[in-house]
Amino acid sequence: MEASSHDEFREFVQMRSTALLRLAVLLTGGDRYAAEDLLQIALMKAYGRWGRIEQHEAYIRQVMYRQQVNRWRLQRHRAETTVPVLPEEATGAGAGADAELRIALWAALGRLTKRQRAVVVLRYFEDLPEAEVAALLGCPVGTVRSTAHRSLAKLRLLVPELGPEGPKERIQSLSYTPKEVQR
Amino acid sequence: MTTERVEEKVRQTLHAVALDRVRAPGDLAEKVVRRRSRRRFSQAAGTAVAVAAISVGAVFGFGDTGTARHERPVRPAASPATPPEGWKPWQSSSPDADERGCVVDGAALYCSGSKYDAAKIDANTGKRLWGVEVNREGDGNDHPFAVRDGVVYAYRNHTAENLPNGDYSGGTDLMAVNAGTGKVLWTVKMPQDDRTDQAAMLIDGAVLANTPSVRTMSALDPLTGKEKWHQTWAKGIVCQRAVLSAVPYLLCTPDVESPGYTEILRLDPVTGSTTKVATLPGGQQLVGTSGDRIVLIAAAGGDRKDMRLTTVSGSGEHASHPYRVDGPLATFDVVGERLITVSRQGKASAHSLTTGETLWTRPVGVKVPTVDTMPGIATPVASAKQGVVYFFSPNGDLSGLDLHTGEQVWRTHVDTGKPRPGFGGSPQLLLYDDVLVARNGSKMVSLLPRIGD
Repeated sequence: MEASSHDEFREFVQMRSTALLRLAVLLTGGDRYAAEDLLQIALMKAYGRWGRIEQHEAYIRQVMYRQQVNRWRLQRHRAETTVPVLPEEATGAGAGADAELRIALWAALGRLTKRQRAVVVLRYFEDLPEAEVAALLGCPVGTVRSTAHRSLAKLRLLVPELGPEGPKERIQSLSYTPKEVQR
Repeated sequence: MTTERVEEKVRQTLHAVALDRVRAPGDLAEKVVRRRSRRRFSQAAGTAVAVAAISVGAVFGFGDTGTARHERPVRPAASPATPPEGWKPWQSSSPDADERGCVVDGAALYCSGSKYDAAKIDANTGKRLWGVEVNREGDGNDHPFAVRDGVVYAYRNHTAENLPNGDYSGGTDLMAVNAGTGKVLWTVKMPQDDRTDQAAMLIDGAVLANTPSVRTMSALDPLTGKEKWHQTWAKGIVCQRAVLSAVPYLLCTPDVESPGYTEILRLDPVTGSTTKVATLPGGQQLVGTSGDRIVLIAAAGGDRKDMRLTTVSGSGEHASHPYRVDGPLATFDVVGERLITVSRQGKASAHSLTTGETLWTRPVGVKVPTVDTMPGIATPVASAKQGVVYFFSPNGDLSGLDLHTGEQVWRTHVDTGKPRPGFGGSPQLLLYDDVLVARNGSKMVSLLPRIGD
């Protein structure tokens, strides 16, 4: 790597690493050490081709997401590690039932698979549409949709306060039912 | 609850996580460059690499998987351990004061935890004697790194304030604390959040600290924190730091992926003036110090499996021995004139720094976490009096191997619980005379290993 690229890399890391580490913390369910490991891996990959990458941050984010999915692929035979999280990390300024629900939800997010968590973070933290999530993860849109659906279903199981699917789902479901059955 | 509402709750939860506590380490770029360099060696050796480069050399595969070669005949079990006066076995009674780690001095442990940046704990009883409360928060792997002349040296956050954009600004201060009272004597702002053993160290008559810029080392008065002298190196150069007999040395290389040389400079601890003592080929990585020698490792030749371990004296005399990369390590340390390593396969080895020979390779006797598990085993500690090197795994296993033969002479298991979130670093093992203090997360256990029982 040329000296100028090297300086650029260092400058980038200095400027953006905290923001990227925060994203990694979400992806790893709150495990700070796994998060730094994930970020280091992404930065290592970027470092090797720094001069050829146009959008450094976008590239590194993509590597982090894909790495997370790849880890899931490699480790899916293993039990997921549950990372306990301090309750106050998810409480924010809120209090009462809402805060309790967020604590339970944050704990439940830690019990999703890495792939499910990656999809959830992309969809609900980054607020990316399904197509962009699919492009980032390198999988079909349908896979993103089904993974998100299964993630929410698992969260419902893990957090009973979320309750079963509400009336809107039932109505939608009925709307797809053949007319003769509706009758 | 409808899908939309669940999605909204998930969204709120993710955005409510206190991410402003999360800060990237100041030396991240350096870690990445070094880790990448090491990974290339390990990949050449056909090993899987996924270990975070928390410390220099952490993924080097040293060792010799051959049979143990005993320099000395097997001797009887080591001398029986004797407890310090007033000590009784204890378990952690100082939550929030020790999760970040400790250092032993006299009959005290000086620790850092989630609520205290520095805390004194009675090594005989485990009771907390005083504590310096954290500046907003206390997380990370840093802890007091030295105690001398009644002063404890540690780190803390520079500020508890937020930046205008709402992010927590943090920053790091080097802090000196009266060991008797817990009163903060002085603080000096560091240029980055590096709190590793490279950030500051004790030298003759001063504290040598990486401040006020990342390319400057300053000698600070130990009682006032005032600068006595400083040395700065040029842009494009990185310098590791080592101390031999209270004299500081800089190990400087071009800041590139494959540096061609490493210069070793001795600094006068009184004036800071430099003397070049040696120039070694390649990018040498500091492994540790052994008596009056600096221990370094570097790639040797085109075959990236081959490495060289080099020792350099304070006057620049150096000797090198070949090493063969054999996969990533769980931990390592320089113990006397030996380099003790533990492979991820659970083999402990001792190498002579003098002859380069592998003295023995034996099962370490504790469960070694897999390469995908971030916390490794504790850095080994050795009791010269007992002639035993001890190992500690995060699952609570403890093992003692004879320093001379590698034979297991003691083992036990302690319940250290699960570490608190945010404190998932490697466990720590400390020696207080013959007593072991095993810390995992916030829990500490102090016990006397009964060798030969």
